[in-house]
Amino acid sequence: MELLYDTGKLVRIIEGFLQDLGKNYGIPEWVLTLGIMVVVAVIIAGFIAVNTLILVLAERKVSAFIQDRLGPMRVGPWGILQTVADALKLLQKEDITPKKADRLIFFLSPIIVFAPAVMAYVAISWSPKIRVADINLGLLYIFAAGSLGTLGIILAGWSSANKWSLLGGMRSAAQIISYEVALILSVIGVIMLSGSLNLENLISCQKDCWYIVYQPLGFLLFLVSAIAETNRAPFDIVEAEQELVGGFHTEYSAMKFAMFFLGEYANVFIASAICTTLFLGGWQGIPGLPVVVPPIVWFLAKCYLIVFVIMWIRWTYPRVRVDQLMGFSWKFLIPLGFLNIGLTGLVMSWK
Amino acid sequence: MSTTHYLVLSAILFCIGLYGVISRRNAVMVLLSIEIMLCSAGLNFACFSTIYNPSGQIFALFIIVVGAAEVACGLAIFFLSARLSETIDLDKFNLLKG
Amino acid sequence: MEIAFYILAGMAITSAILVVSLKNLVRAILALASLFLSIAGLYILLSAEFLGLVQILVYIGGVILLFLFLIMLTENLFEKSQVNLFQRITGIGLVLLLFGIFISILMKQPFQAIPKTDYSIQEIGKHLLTDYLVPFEVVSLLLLVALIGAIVIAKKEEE
Repeated sequence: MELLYDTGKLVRIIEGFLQDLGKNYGIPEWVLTLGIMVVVAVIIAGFIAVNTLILVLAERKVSAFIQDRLGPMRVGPWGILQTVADALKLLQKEDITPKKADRLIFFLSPIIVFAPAVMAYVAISWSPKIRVADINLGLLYIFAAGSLGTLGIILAGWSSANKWSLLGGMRSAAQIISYEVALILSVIGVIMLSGSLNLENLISCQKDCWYIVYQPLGFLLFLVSAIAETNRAPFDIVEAEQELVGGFHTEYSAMKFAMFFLGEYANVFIASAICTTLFLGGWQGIPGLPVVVPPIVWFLAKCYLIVFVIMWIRWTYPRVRVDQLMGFSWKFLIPLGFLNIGLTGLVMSWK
Repeated sequence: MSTTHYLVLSAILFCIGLYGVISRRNAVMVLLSIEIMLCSAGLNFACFSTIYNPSGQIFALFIIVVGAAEVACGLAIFFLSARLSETIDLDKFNLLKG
Repeated sequence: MEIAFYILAGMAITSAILVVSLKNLVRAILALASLFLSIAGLYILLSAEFLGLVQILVYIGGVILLFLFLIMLTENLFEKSQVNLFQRITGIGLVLLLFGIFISILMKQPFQAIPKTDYSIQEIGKHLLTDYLVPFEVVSLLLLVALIGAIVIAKKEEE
């Protein structure tokens, strides 16, 4: 049980076990590495699936409670098995491809949207020393993975051979690249304070005080930009039902649509995981108070708190209009981001 | 791995890009082939920077930035000329011919 | 790490050949995206990690999107005319000649193994702001000029 608190020791025990396995049974090292990679991939895929299961149900329940109703209540006690029913329904739907669609690109776009979202899970650090890879430029890697997903969205809109999907895909891509600039600017204040892009270093630099205290403006900018990046309300003009039917994923059905869905919820979790790591201290407890629960519980609790805030914002604010959308990023968020960097630099040089 | 492997790869990519510039008629394809050549040059710089000092990486960074700026301007010009003359065949843009 | 190099190099050469030979523009642009991805992988193999990630962020997240926006908004998707066979063979011949010149120079180089270098991003940042300050500022001015120029050129004429 105490291994959950001191996860460095857990990692050392597992490494020792694997080295013994290599020496005693003569298994070559590349087989062990490959085996570890497969196991980790399965764990991450399982986590994403379970995460989406929980988040879809949570979204429906949270929206229901905000709108003063009860949400899905029939399937299972209190509607808990609703997402299982949704998943079973999606699995047995017919897979349609429009006649004029470009078949290869139509097939590839859900993969191009989903794969970078999974790639970003490699860099986040769940607990001391528990992370898939210790990347020195972890934060930049996650932003690069985020920008790869944009390509999939515009290809999805294009290959549907549907004018409104094309428009939706282009608007979505333009929105994502506008808010990407604001996102990266809002993070630079944190990088200046800690001097490193490595996520473990960022967490250990917050041992005394979480960065949300030092960078409140940065936290707000990051939250707004992350919500716009993942195409969630109030910035979801491109996939709102009243506007463009489904936007870029109108023509997709069954498993391909499920891929887009999984990609969106995986993105929401990554955004909140990065927000937790950068501003809320990652897997650490509140500085000064004793750590009561294992670090991974702290991390997941903070992540899901931010996800709850994102869902709360969705059902509170009206949708932003498409002409106000870009203006909001370029004329409001980016100057505020520069102001944040300037203020941080000023205070740092004054100390 | 030796530097020779990377340099040979960079030479192959440069030659493929050059063939693309020579033999394609569509202006966008010519821009794509120029991007291939820029990539190969950057690979060359990064390969040598492992032996000497980090200036190679910094110069490859500048190459990336200049390539992006050039593509933006080139595509704007191409868009305007396609709109004005209704054809995209590069051999037909011969108004300045003496 | 030899097999990683050969896989990435094979992917790069295949993508480049696809770019110069595909007639469908959107697929050629996708082949260019896969070329950029393999070049980023090669940069990471050469321990230039910052460069590789910036390549993905700028080239694939920016330049490819720019190409795709333009192609999808205009109507010209396929190349209408092609060079004839004589020009194509001359082109291949010239390119092979150039490649032969490159190889004859390269094969005379001494064999140098790639050492494992570790230029941290702090070092690159320091170099950018001390030794290469002037090019850095000039490049940011260049980006501003390109931004304004592209907007002015492609703007619709307002009556």
